[in-house]
Amino acid sequence: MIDIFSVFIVMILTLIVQSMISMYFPLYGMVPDLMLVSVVYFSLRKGTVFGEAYGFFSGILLDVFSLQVFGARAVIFTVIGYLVGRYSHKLDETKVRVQVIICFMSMLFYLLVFNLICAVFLPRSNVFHIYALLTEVIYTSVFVPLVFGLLNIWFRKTRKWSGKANRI
Amino acid sequence: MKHQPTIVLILLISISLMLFVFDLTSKIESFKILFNYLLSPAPNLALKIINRQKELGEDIVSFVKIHQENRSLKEEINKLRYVETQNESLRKENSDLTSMLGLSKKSQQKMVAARVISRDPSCWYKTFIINKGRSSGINSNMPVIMFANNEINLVGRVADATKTTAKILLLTDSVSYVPVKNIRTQETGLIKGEEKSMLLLDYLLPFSDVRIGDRIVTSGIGEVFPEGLPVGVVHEVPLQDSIYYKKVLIRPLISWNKIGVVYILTK
Repeated sequence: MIDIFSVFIVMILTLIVQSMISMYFPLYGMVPDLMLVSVVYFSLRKGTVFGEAYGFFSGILLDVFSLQVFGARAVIFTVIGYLVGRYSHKLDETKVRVQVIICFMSMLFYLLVFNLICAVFLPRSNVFHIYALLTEVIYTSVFVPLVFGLLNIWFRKTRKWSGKANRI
Repeated sequence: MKHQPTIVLILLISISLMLFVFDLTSKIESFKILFNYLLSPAPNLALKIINRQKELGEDIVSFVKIHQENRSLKEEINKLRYVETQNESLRKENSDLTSMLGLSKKSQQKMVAARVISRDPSCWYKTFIINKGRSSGINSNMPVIMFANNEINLVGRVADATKTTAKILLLTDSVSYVPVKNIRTQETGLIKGEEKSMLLLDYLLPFSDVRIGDRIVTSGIGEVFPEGLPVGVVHEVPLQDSIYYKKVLIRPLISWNKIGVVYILTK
């Protein structure tokens, strides 16, 4: 129970931090997608089903707080959760190199599909630009080790708290 | 249980696709706008917060602005309703007093809107042509007004009308004379055109009290122009060269270069 609760807190905190970065540290208007990094984290750490579920709910949350096609991120994050989860047992997620590469590829997939969906459903939306896409992917990749590190610390702490709670 | 991830994937993607199919974007958007707005205690505060949060999107800002505008317009309507009620009772009182005194009643005038279709540069301060004529009930000597910057101002009179067009004689034409009065002092005079943007108020008595900024309106003498149509404000009281009459420069409330749509007061 405490595990689900801490995951929910992570989801909300990620959203808040992401919107704060979008407010104060945008790079050429691009913002790192920390939510996607957290989807990759959970898919690698907790497997396919958890990754899918986390991807779906975090995608819905982002869709609610954005002004684009509702449900688009939910689909893409679910698929990313599934794909990363499927190959998680073949990868060593403790290595920073692996984390960055997986996030880089997930981000690339996400942006390509998302822009495609927007082009279909919102024909008047901004024209997709390859340099903007690469900037966003690289900017997100920079944050990957930090997000993974923070999430590791967070779950180590929550596990300790849950252990203490069980003893009480 | 080997296929459990795939089943979950299919289930979640089906839900997501249903969200697509039902096209909830606009509904969620409306909900978000409402949610953001309800969270803020006062519209002014909401506007301040929203102006700071640029990423929230222009549509939310415009929603709040429209709401505020709506509120202020409602207040304005309520005030105008009150004024209208007062006007109605004053009109009735005026009508009763007029009939008691045996004075002829002033006719109620209607407005016909018309667009300027021609203006000769060589007669810029003299005349222009509008797209309405006798077929719209327009005849010679009918007053012409226009609205600009929430102000009404007399423009001139109908000089001549054909079936579909009419020639308007501007106040600035040298043959134009309009009987006027100073609202503050109720002194009367005649406005003359001088073929430039300013008008000349003539035939004021030498000792008359005219101050810069006094509002000048039609006096109603002569029956061509109804009483109370704004003509302009006193702009300058030059040194007088006549010992019999005082001359004053009047600045109209409108720009003579911005005449597009005018209104003809028909009987």
